[in-house]
Amino acid sequence: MKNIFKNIRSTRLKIFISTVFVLLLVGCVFLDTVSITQTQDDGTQAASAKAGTTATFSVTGHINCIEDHGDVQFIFSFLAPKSWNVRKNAKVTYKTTLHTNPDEELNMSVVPESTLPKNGGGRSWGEALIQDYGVGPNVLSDMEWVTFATDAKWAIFNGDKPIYTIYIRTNVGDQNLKAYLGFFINHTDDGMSTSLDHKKVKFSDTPFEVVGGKGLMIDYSSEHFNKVQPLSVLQDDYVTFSFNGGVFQNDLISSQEIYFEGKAYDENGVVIAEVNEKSSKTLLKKETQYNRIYSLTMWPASYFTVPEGKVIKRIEYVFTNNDRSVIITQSDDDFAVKGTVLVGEKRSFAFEFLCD
Amino acid sequence: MKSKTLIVTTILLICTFFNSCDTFKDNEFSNNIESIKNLDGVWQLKTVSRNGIDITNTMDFSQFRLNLNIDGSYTLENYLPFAVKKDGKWRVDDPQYPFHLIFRENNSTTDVTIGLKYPIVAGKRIISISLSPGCHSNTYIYEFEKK
Repeated sequence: MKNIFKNIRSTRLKIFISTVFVLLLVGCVFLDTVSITQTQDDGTQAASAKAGTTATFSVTGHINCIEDHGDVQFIFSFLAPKSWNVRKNAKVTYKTTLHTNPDEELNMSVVPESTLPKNGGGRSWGEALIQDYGVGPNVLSDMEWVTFATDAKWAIFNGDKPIYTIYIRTNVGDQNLKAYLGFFINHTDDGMSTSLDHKKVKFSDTPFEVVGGKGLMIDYSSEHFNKVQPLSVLQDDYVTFSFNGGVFQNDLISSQEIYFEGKAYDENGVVIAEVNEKSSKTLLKKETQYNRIYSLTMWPASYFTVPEGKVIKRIEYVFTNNDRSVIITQSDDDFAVKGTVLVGEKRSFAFEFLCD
Repeated sequence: MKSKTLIVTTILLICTFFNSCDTFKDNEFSNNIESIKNLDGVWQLKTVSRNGIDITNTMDFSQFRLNLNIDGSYTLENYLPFAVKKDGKWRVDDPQYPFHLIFRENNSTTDVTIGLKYPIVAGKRIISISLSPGCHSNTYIYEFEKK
C-alpha cells in the first residue's frame, strides 16, 4: 500500500516537473506596446492621418528565449482596412538588440499567400489570422491581415533576451474611415501553433482615423443600424445592405417585414432611379435565427436598371416597414450612436461607390 | 512443434506480402494519355462566393447559364456580372489540362482570359471560375454545374 502511494506521488511529481519544464521551455515572445499616433500639423500627437499620406505605426516587444532556434524568421502581421492595400503599399522594418547594430532598421517582406505557416493546419497566414482573431474589436469585416517575415534568418539561444521595435509605414488611402488596427507577432518555427507563448496579438486601444479624404466616413469600429459590404464597390459588384435591428432600441425590428428603399445617383448628383416598391425585390431577409440582422444583396446596375452609359456613384437608402409607418434613417442612427438630436428633416443613409 | 508452425506461418505471410503487389513495367505508364476535358455544354451557376464568403443564398443566382457550344461559340442567359458581357467565341488554353477559359466577344479583337478549375464534386463535374467584374479588390468564385 505504501509503495502504491509512493508510486502515485512519484508519478505526480514527474508530471509536475515535466509541466514546469515545458512551461519554462516556452513563454518566448512578448508584444509590449503599440503606437498609432501621428504628428499633426499643429505638432500634437493624435491617432489620425490625412487621406493619401503615409502613416507610421510601431510595435515594441521583447523575447525571453529559453530554447535554441537556428535559422528562424520573425513574423509580423498587420490588420488594416483592405482599401489601404497594405500588401502593396506598406514598408515594414525592425530594429533588434539581436543585431550587432541595434539601431539599424532591417527589412521585412510580405509573406506570399502560397507560403503556409508550419502549424496552421493548411491555412495561409491570412486565413489562419482571420479565423483565429477575426477583425478584433471592429464590426465591419472589410479588413485583412497581411503578414511579413524578416528577410534575415536569426539564431537565437537559450538565455537571450532581445528587445525589438517594428515600424509599419503605409499609405492610409483616400477613403475617410475609422478603424481599430491589429498587430500580431510569431516566428516561423512556431508557425501559428496552438501554443499562446510563441505568438501575441494586440489591437489599438482607440480607433485610427483617416480624415480629409473621399466619401463619407466609414466607421469600422462601432455598431450602427446599417452596414454595407463590401465597402469598395462598383455597380457590377454584389452589394449587401444590412439593417442591424438588435443593436439599438427601435420600432422597426418588431415589424413582420422590413424593406429597403433606395435612390441611385450618378456622379453629377442626378437621380438615375428610385426603387421603393414593397415586393420580394426590396424585402430584407433575416440572416440567421441567432441575430436580428436583416439583409438584401443586390447587383446595383440591375436593381436600379441603370441605362447604358450611366454609372452609379451614390446610393441613398432607408429601411422601412410595409406601410412606411416606421423608417430608420441616418438621423436615427446619429441619435442612437452619438445622441445627436434631430433638427429638420430626417437624413437617409448614404453609400458611395468607390474603388481604389 | 510450436516453433515449426510459427516459421511456416511467417514464411507464408512473407510470400503473401510480396505476391500481393502487381508488377508494372515502365512502358505501361507511358502509354497513358490524359483525356481531353470536355467543357462544352450548358453550365448553370450553382454557388457564388464573395471575398471567400458564400453568398449563394443571399439572392437568386440560379438562372444564369453559360452555354459553351461545341462549335466554339458561347452565349450567356439571364446575365449576371461576368467576365464578358456579350456572346462570342470560347476556347481553353490546353484541352488536356485546361487552366484558363478564354472568351472573345463578337466584334472584339481582344481575348478575356479567366482562371478555371474543373473538379468533380459529389460525382458531378463542376467548373469553378474566379473573376472580379466590379471593383478589382473584390474576388468572386462562380461554380457552375453541367445541366
